[in-house]
Amino acid sequence: MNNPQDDKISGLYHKISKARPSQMLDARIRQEARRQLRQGRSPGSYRWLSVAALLVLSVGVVLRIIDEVPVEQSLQDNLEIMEMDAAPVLKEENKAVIRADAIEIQAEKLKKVEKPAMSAAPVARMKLQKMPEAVESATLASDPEFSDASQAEYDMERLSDSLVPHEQQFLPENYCGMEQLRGVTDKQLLQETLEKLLSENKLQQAECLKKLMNQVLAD
Amino acid sequence: MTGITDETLIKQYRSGNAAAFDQLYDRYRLSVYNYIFRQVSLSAQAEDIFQDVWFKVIQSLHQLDTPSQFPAWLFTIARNRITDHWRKKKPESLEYEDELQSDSPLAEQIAFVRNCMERLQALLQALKPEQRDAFVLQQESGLTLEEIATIAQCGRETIKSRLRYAMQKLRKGLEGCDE
Repeated sequence: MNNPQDDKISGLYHKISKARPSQMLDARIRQEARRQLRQGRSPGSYRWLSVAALLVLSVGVVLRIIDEVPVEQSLQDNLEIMEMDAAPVLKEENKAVIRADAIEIQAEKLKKVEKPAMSAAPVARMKLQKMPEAVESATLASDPEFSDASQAEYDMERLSDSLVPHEQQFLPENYCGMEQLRGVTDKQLLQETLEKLLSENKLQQAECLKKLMNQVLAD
Repeated sequence: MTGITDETLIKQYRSGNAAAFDQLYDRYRLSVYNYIFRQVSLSAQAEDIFQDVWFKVIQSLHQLDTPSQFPAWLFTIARNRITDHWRKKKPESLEYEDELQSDSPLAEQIAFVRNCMERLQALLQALKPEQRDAFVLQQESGLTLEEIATIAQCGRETIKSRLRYAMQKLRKGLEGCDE
């Protein structure tokens, strides 16, 4: 407004009485401004609230995913490790159970033979008494008699013995499982064989041979 | 506009200071109200529009990205509300310019007005709406031509033209009027 007349008009405009909103209207508008602040219902607040909620939700989901994956993996790993660790123990336990069963079977057979004089029966019973301990702590190897490799071999041999047919059991009529003794009457040879069996700790066979020797000598 | 800036007051209100809004409201209430009142003339209508404008401001103040441009934003809301008002209630079809001729009944009536201020008010009412809008907006808001053009959604030259025509009519209607 460069024109001086325009400035006069502008001055005149600002001199005319200004219209004013009513005091009631002023109060209503100020009250509305306070109400918005109290209730926090401004769109801006909602926007920030929704953004914050979304952020919290996203972080929660991500953390949950991060937590779950390692747990599953570690669980699987642990299971595999436990299975690997347990495998030998289970094998030993199975072996021990088989050994116990075999000796029990053999003891039963010995009982059927009803030879009170046999020294193998108490030995078998003694070993049988020890077997539960061996079964329970097969891997602990607390009993040297059952923990070393030779004992295991012995037991396995006993197991295989228990599985041979009845005709081949260590009975005098079967030459105590030693067919080469058929017709042998030489006391010295039989005595040497007996000593060998004892030295090899083949007690049952040795007992059988003793009986065979008695029969042979009696004949 | 001294002291605390509009931007500071808006930030304070956003952070919960209701008194900051009062200060902002006091700063603009008369200019906004008069801008509306000069357009619609009737106090009741002006008050309704005025309330709508400020309620809208309160609701949307948190969304204002450039608080430094608060006046332009405020007068844009006011202008939109006035436009809505006239859209709902079509203005009486007056032959504004023709009736302002010196030999027209209105000009004669104006000649009888005892003081220039009353004549000015009457002349304002006789202006074309867009010319009156440009003139009153300029007088009340103190905004630049560019800002007024933005509010009015037209070019700077258009606003300049409207203001020129408005001034010509006012000068003519106020001839002989001593300050």
